[in-house]
Amino acid sequence: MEDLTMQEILKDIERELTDPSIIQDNKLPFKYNDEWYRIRMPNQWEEAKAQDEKNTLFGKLIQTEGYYMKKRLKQILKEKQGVDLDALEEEKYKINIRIQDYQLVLAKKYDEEIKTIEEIKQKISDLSARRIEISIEIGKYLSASIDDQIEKAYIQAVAAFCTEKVEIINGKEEWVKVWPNLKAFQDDSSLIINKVLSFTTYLLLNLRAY
Amino acid sequence: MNIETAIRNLAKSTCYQNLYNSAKDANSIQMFINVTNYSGVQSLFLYWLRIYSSLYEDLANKESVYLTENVINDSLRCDAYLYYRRKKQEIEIKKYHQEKQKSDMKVKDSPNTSVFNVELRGQ
Repeated sequence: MEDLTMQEILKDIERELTDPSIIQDNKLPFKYNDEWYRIRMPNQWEEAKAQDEKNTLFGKLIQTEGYYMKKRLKQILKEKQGVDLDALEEEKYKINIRIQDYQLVLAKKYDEEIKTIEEIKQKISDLSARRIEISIEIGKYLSASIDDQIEKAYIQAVAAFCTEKVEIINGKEEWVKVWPNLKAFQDDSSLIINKVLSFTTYLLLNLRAY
Repeated sequence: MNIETAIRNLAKSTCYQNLYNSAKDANSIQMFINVTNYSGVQSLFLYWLRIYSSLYEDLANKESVYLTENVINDSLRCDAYLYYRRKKQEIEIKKYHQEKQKSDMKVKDSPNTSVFNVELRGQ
């Protein structure tokens, strides 16, 4: 079967991640090209190996010309390109305050005040959309930072170590590793990689963001 | 529907709220197949499970005239109510501390109260 397109993959991810099965255990199952795959939480050894990858890359990048930590990259962007990320952060902060102001008004509306409720909800949605736009813009500029690069390396390592697929072995269904090592994962250029990385990010979601 | 919406819908469902309350009471019912090493998705689910449980409790106790089933079922109104509840709690805590400080001062300034300076020395 032919590989799916990126858009089909994104649609799949959205559909599969709204299935109740995503919480029943610490594994995220998904289908790719009619085959079942899953990503599970790393065990202690895999976690340590993924951390190793992260630390090794950090040690390498910190000594490499042209790579900077977020703080320094922000300064360079401002000095050399005139991109003021602090100003964008400030705008985000102000949007948050405005959202909270609307929330306090919305919270005190009774169910019967349908029109007003809808109006305030629309204002909050518009502001939230702008906040997301700013976050994406900041994210784009900082994705080249050492901080983001090492985080990506960690996600990639977990994805490589913890993705499994169903195979029939001696007439029995068994979950086996998709890639024997990180190198094999990195060499794989099929679209499954995008799906696996997205699922791994969701699997490792943490509450710090909330 | 994004993943957080899906998680919130599951967390506020009667099925999971009942399971959560039973688990709290009996301290033995298992929510997931795994008992440790929760995934990020599971942690997020547990977070919303607790939040919705507290909202249903507020609703049952008629804690606020603004909290209704419709509020709980609407993510934006629900977020607004949660923010309002937090602010209200902060104001109440601040007020409590101010009043406590005031009453402590009154006791200290009262003419019937003796204040002793006690110096404790080790042997």
